[in-house]
Amino acid sequence: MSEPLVRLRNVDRAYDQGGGKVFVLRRITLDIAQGEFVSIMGPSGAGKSTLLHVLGMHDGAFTGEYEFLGYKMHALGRKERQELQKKHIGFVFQSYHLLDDLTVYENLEVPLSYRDVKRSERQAIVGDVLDRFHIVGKKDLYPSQLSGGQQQLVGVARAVVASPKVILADEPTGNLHTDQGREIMELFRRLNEAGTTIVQVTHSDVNAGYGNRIIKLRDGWVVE
Amino acid sequence: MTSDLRLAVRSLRRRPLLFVVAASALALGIGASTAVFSVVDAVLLRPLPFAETERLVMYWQSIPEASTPFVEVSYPHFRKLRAQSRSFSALAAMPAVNSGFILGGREPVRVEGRIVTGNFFDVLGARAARGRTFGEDEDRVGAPRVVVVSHGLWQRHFGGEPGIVGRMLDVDGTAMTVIGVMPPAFRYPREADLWTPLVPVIPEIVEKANVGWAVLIGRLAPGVPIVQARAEVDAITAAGLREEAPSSPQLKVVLTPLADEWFGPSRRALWVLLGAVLLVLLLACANVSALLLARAATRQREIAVRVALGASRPRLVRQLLVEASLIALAGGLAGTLIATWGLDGLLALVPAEVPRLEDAAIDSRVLAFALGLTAVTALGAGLVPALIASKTSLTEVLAEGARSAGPAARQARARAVLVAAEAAVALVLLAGAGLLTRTFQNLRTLDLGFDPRNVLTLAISGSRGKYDKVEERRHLYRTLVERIDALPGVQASAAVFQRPLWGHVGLDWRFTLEGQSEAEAERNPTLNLQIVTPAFFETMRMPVRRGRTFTDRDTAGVPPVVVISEVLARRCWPGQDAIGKHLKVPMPTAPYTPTWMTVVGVVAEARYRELQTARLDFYMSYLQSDEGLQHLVVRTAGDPLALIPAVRAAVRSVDRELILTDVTSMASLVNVALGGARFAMQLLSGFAVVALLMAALGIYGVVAFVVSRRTREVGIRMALGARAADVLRLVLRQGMAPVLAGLAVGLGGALALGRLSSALLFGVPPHDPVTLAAAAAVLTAAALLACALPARRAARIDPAQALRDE
Repeated sequence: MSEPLVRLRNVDRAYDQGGGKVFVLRRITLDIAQGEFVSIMGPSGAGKSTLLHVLGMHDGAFTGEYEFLGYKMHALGRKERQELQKKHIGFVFQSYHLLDDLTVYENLEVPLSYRDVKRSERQAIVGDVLDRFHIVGKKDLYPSQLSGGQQQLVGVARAVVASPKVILADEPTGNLHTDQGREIMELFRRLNEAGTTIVQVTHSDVNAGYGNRIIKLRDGWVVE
Repeated sequence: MTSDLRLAVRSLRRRPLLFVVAASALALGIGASTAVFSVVDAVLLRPLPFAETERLVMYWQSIPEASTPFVEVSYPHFRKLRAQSRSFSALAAMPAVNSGFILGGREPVRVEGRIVTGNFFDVLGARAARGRTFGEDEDRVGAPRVVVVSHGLWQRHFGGEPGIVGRMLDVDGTAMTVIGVMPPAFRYPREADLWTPLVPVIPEIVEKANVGWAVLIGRLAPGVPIVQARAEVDAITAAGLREEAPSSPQLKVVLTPLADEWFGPSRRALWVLLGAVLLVLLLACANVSALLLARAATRQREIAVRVALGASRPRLVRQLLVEASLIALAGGLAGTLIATWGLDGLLALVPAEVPRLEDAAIDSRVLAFALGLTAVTALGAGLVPALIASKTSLTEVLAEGARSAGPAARQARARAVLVAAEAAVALVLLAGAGLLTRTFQNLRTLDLGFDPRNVLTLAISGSRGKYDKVEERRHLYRTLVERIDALPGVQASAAVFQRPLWGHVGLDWRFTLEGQSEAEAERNPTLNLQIVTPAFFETMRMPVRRGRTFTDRDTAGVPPVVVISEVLARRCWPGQDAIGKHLKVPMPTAPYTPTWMTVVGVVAEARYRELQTARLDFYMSYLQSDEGLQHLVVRTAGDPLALIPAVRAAVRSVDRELILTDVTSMASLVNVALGGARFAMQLLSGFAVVALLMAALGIYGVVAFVVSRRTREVGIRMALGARAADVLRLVLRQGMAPVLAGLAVGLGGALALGRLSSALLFGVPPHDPVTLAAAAAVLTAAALLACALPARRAARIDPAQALRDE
């Protein structure tokens, strides 16, 4: 069997509170292989989003071991982590979090500009993504001019524009009605079939059904 | 970078109010700073028109024991210093003040000039723009008479005539050859338009050891510090005194950089004002910072998303700085326009005695300063908000149930620091303005000892030779006064050696009291000797405290009598009647025979030479002195300036060749004398008002923002039973806490500013507690008002509505 993409061993994450510590993640040990579609489930406060942010390398204040593509994240500094994150990870948020002042085109361009991709290349990549997601006609609109489903479509497009190995999605359909949610999940399925690893946090059994593995959390522990 | 710029433009266009308010604040600060800098640059920063100015020093003497700050140097002493001193590579001499020269011709004109030693230009390292300057071989008895003229005189009087060099001029009735024209920048000493070698003009001065007439200009030898030179000339002077006049009081050498003398008190005032206006700019930056911080607080989500999409911190800081830079750039452009339009107004406020004021302009150097200021402002206003905003954490802002209040806490701290800084800066400026306002009030309401209203004053000069005889001069003054007195609208007129407020330099005369030894008399302070026609006291409305003033019977044939000021009377004969007492005083003209004179009158103490100090005034009658009189004073029934044509005609009816200069009213001279104090006061008060407004607006903005962010909290508090008064108190307490901290810091700054500007103050101590308390009270009131408006809004929050909205 090949080396897993993600390898967590005894990962803890705690916050200081009132002179003591509150643990949000406890001894998390798991592997995620390349090409998997994993759903993280659990009640509110179980630590789902925290785990997603640890996986997404935004949160470095954990203890334990976390390897990503063989890189030891627990031993890397913030800058190195950020570089790996820029290169390999795309994020999709429940509330879309598109940048209000930017058009659809510019929203898609942002991740590429942070990766110092040349302007001409950026134009080509964004044009291609607009095409793949069938949103060429919307490229000059601002987020406020789009429906929720359309905004999340742009959110997913933005997550894949820099060709990440993994997409981390935090309740990606949480703010959408059923039909729109289904479209987004179909989109994830297609991306996964094309080789992108997907890790989503979800409350929905239906959405979890799109994946091939479920990790259940409760009070910070992996329970299943 | 282009995309950062594009996004910044778009972001600011979506928030035009923020852009306009922030850019306007910076425009005001940058504009005022640029305008003041243009004056500072022209006056202080441009190189002086000399070579290696830092090696040039001025030399005179003082007698601290006799409270005499200024004693001129005799020619023999100058010669001795030149011969013995090793600290100077060269030493030149000139009188302390300009002389008036009459340029003959169809219309004779009076010009100011200076007689100087032949090496004057060499010592200064100044070259002529046309022709040449003179040398030492032209500064001897019998040398051909030569003159160097200023660029201004060449343009004004000779119309820039190309063949000026080599032309013969009639100067005071003597034919002199113009040998050179100085460059436009060479204007030294001030208002001198003509320079001529000393010895051919007054050959007798060379041997007179007892006549002090000169200040010296020295060029320090390479590598010699001024302290070393001072020690050396001190030793030479002391040795000379031991040999020649062992009983004399100690003469103290005053050796000061020429640049200090050149700039005078204007240097301190201009630096203080530049510092003050930069504080206003600092306030503007603080305000813009507070605005950008508030904006950053509303952008936390956007910034967190950018981080999630891969933005590094430097990249985020850069983007936020681009926005701040655009605001600063707009402020800089508008500020430069404000400076261009406002410069004339500013120059109108600056007192005329500030040198090189005419060179102040918005030129490339000033524009470079404005650009630099804009860049610094962009960093100053934008960096802190950018650093704080970019330190956001994705998990804190975006994650469900964020557990840390990190960014909000950092922003709250930064806001408190900004408010405290604004209060501190505003207090410093308010206190400074308070001190200068009190100074101006003290000077303005000062009892001058004479009434300057409705008095016309003018200087008279005639060609040398025409009034050489004493009797001719006395006849001239008598006739002039009679003709002017006969004019309708004239109440009284008089001639005087120097009119009041003519300047610091005059006849500083020694005196001996009855019973005093010569050695004791040497320690007496010097007198301000004036020679007047009898109606002088009446014309100036100078109150007579005791005895009488002069009459036509006080002539050369009778024992000399004098009128003195009451401060002199008190000093010489404390608790006694001065009338009938005697003083021995050298006569005002050569051979300066010491003569006993009887006090016949005591007049009010007058601010004769300057507003700040009352000298020991000592008046002689023109009928008992041979010295010429230089000024006329005329008391009129109405506007004195309306009588100028009539007075001119009256003077011309006596002698068509008499030249009248310096024709103005005494009131306007008082006004000019107040100019320095008024300038500093007006400008600093203006800055203080702007600072107060900016601080109040800044405090208001911050408190209003905090209230808007805490609507839910206030709603909860009210739902839990808080009354409107509790909420009001809460907001006021939290709003005023940083203000009070700022006041404490500002107090230290105000004390420092008081110390720095103590030379500009009059009648008020630098640490005046009343002024400081008043400044603190005004600022506290403004801050309370600024907090009260949002506090009232908070107290009116409807809890149900607030909680529903959230």
